[in-house]
Amino acid sequence: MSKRQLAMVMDLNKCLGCHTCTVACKRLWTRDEAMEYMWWNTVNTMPGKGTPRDWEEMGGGFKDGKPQLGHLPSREEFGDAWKYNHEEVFSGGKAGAHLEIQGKKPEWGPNWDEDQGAGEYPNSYFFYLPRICNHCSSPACVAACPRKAIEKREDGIVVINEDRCRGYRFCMEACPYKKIYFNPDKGVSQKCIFCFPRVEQGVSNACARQCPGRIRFVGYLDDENSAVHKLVKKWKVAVRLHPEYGTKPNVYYVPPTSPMKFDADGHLDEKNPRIPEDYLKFLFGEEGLEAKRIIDKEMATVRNGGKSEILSVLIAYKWSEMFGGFDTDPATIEWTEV
Amino acid sequence: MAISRRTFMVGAGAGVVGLGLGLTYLRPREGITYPDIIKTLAKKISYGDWSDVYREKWTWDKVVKGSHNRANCFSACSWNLYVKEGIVWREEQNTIYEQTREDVPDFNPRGCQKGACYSDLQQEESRILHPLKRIGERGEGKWKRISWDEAYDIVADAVIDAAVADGIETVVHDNGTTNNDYGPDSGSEMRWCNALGCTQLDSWAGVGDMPNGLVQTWGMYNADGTTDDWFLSDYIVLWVANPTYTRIPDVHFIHEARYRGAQLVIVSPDFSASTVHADLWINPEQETDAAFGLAAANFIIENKLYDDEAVREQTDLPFLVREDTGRYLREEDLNKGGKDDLFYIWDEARNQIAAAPGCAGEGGTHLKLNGLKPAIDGRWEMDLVDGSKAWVRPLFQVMRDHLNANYTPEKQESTTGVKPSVVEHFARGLAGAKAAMIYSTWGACKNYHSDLYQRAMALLMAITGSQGKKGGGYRVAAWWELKGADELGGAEFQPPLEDVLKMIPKAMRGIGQGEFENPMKALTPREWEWIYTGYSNNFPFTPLMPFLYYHGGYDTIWDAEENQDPDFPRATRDYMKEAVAKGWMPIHPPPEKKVHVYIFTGANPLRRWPSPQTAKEHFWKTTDLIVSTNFRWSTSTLFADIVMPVAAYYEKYSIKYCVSALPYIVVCEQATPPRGDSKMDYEVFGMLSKRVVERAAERGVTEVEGPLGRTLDLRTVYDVWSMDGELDPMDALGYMDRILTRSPNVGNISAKEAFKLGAVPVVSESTFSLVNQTCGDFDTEDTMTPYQWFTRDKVAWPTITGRQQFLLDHPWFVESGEALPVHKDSPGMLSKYPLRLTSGHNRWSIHSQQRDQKMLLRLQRGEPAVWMHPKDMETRGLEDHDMIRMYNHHGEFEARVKPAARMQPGMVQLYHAWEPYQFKGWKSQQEPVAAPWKPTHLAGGYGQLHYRFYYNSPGHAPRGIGIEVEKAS
Repeated sequence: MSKRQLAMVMDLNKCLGCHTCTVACKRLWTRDEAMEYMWWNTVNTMPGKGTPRDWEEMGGGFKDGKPQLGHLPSREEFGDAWKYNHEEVFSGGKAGAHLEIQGKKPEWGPNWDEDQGAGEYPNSYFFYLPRICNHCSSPACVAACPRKAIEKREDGIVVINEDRCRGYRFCMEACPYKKIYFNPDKGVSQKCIFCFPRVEQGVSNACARQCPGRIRFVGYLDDENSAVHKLVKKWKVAVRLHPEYGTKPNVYYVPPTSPMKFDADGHLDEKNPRIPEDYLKFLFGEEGLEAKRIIDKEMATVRNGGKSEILSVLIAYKWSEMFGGFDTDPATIEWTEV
Repeated sequence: MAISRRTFMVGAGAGVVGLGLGLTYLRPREGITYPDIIKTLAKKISYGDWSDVYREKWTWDKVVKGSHNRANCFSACSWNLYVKEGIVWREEQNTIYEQTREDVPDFNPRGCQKGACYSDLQQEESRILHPLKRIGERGEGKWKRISWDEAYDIVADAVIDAAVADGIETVVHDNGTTNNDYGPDSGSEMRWCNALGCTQLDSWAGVGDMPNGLVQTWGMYNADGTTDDWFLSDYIVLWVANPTYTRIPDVHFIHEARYRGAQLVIVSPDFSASTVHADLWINPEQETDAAFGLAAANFIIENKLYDDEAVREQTDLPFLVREDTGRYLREEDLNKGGKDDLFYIWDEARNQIAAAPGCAGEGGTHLKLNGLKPAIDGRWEMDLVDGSKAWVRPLFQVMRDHLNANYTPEKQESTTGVKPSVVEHFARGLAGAKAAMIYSTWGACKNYHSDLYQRAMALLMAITGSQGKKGGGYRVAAWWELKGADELGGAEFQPPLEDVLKMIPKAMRGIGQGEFENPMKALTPREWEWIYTGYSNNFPFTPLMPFLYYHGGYDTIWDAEENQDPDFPRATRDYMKEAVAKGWMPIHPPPEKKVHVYIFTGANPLRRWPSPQTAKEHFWKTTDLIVSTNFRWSTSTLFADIVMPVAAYYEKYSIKYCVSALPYIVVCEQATPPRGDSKMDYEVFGMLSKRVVERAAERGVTEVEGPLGRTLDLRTVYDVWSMDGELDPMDALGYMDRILTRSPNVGNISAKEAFKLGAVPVVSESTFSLVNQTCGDFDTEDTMTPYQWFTRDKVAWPTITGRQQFLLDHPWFVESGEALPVHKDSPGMLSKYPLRLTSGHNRWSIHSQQRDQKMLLRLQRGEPAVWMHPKDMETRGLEDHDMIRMYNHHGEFEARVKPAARMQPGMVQLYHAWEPYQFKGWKSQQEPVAAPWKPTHLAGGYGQLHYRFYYNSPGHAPRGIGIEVEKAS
């Protein structure tokens, strides 16, 4: 087991669904052609089918302590890297051609159900759920790999050793969060690497450091000075997604609040939450409801003129303090030959 | 270099090293410090070779500061550009911003997903790399590659031909709206326009960005400070606004304000992305916002929740209004030869009428009451100059009666569908907050009756005394001035000092006293407005809608019976003729002349103009030469005759336009050379200026008809462009240096120093300019709050009344029933088509730029898609992702459909700016948009109601369009 554990907290009350995280990750890690369809970081509108489509119904993880093999998600279920006919449109090659996806028309993509959500108008609701590999403490992928190609580093980052990987894809079946992709050119599985080359230099992850919503906190869980420690361990306002999958994720979420509901007559309903508690419980378990109660209470406190240490940390007055010491500005790094 | 308290984390300097992309990777240089935990780990862990592949991805040759200078994106964000092997490989935000105050969060890391992949767009197929000449039909896509010399010759000759035939005004230059930067590119374009005296389109209102309701109420509209000021608000209302899509780098301040106790309220018919994190969502029926707002005002007034002092001092509500005419009591009513812009209040202290401080006829400088106690209640009989008598009352009472009669919370329900209890909840929250703000910006100007929504919102902000408070008041957007850019850009942006000095005796009575070390600050906003209006009239600016009416063939739409507004007693044509005859609206070239040359620079008219089929049918057929400068293929560029490829943003020196959102000015260094044959825009317009002179000499042409009846000597064009040879078209960097070193508000920093920072701190006050109208004092130690000059310093507002003005007794407003703020049903509401097509700035592109970028399309449906309520789909037999046809009497187009319970039934939401070439048959969402506009927007001759460049003209209203939908065959 790893000696320490790097973790991330995502505050869902600040997420904009803007995908700057997604793009930051893609431009850095997954731009090779065979990786074009991969999105190690995704953001989905919830409730929704997500990425890959219906991933929450695909199985995997642990049940009664035993590893499970679930569905192997297909390229179509993730959403493919659609090709287009730009040249044809610009050069007048085909009269009247408009810009279209070439080949088979897609039926799903990594953000297909963006801003659709659920509920009955005017009690409609949705929120955004960004996801990366959870770098679990009990990683199902590690357990499932017959090649022992998946390693948990001493800093807690889970990586696929691409030299050992033979592309059997048991990991993809075992991961209940379905955050592993297959690279057909290299014949290996690939996934979020928690930006280890950056982290090794004290630079926070691209998805976290580039997040304009300022929702992501990074750090060692046992570092009592880090925001992640405080939010997860001390105050317990950040919780795991689908804890029942049994893999002990190290990405934690501050559960979402939502606007007041309307009652049947169109008046404001100040008692019942717009996002049904059942749905939050489905995602984050009983701990999620408890975390939300704490957030609600703290917000009531500040509204009445009080102070909240928890909310002050979530505000992140000093942005660089979100990163648990991983606050090196990459633009200050100089490179020399080894 | 004068720099503020701020300190900077400037990198040790990006070490440039030659590297291959082989298996050896680069390690950071010894001596770089990391947290201890990392050092330990790095030593202990041994990796397999596979991991080096990833480490290698995390290397670069150099880091350069850049941004997206002409993207016309409202957020100015500084980026670090990571350059590898001569290509900008990726970008990551430049994170040097510091907190302005300890108790307010900082600005890091400003940027969004578009900015994070612009480097990808620079390399896409849409990039134009060579000058091209059309060889097929317009829009056919057949091109011949030509040299720059050939391109310059063709354009220069066409300009000369036009000038000789019909005068220089028949050459029309169109840079969109704020497709400006503050750097060499726009500077060069402005210099080209000024040197020629060609017609320049003013598209601020033409793109639907003009808050006419605020022009009417305040005499200005650029209202905002820094966005960290939002954090200080206690009640944030986002009204016809979706900053979660449109203000990605700024919106965290709103969400963080919730964590210090602010309430977030959204007023929007749909549950938008910005509603996700709200506390309260109010969902009036589409386009009924004014009725809801006025009902809230009614509740606040009837329950005495208003700010009494603000009402008496900052608004026209104490002004006496005649019961017989409904107009203000004026001096001319009382005295022979009296002024028509001197108004009265009833002074409760002396029990008599008194001239209202700050109104235009009183001197119009300040609002100080000096012992006056303006009544807001009462009724008095006045002896008029003609011997008759008239009863007068304070406008406050007239407004009360008006709101009680029409807009109580109960009465508005049948219009808005909002329960009175919800109105009350909102009104109490708004009026009870320490600092309430309404954020309602460019998107809130695009409905037919947007001005009425704005007047209602402004009323709420005024009577609650929210204006000028930290974290309070009506927020639109604003800019810093950059003096060097204005000075160099052209005369209309910077009046000569002697003209300003002439105004100083006036200013002595005003706020300027004691501050004469800076004569610019001695003037009130009203006086600046006079100056800019005077200057604007000296140049052939033409607002877009009147231009299209006379030159674009759009009279065929806007004169049609179906597009006449039944609330106006006369036809639109009649108002247009009157406005032109009275000089209220300029038209260049004059209606009887045709446009010969149309040059557009980054604008995308066939995407953005209403009813583009009309433009293609008329303007595109009648114009001799259509020229586009662009770095990428837009639909309009595909319909040009000559295409001049310009450098992409990371390939040039530039300054992003200086939004007041952040107290920094963002500069861009050239990271890589321009791709292909593309050139910096700066060079293009300098060289064109030169070529006009050369070609004119070769052809023996000298003097031609210039703008506004003046004479233009074509021999002078390059001298004017180049300041008699001082400027070199090949030296954009030199021009940039001139701008910055002449700009005191950035400490007169050199370009070289600025490039080290990327984001240069604003260190001092900017002067009032065309767009810098923040009207608050700048303090490096505090957030910037707009409009404190009025509320704290008691400077008069630049309206005829000197106040925030809620009665517009201009005859056109009176005859159309809009003298007082009202709700009116929009053309879409009255349409026979049951659904309404609406839109909004979108998450995924900056207007049409990046709309076709593959990587971003893969994060959407990959093609245009609309959101509809599931029931509206069900009744029409539509299923998720069906291709649907949207149509009305004016036009039709097709797109995919997505069901979403967040949509209000009846809405068809298609976020904007898809390129027409992304739709079947290139028919875009603008096809069904006839976009009539209100004749009141042509009104002039009345204080704040007048035209100047970037102020007050008819807007474009592409939202709320009546349509029907069916499954496409």
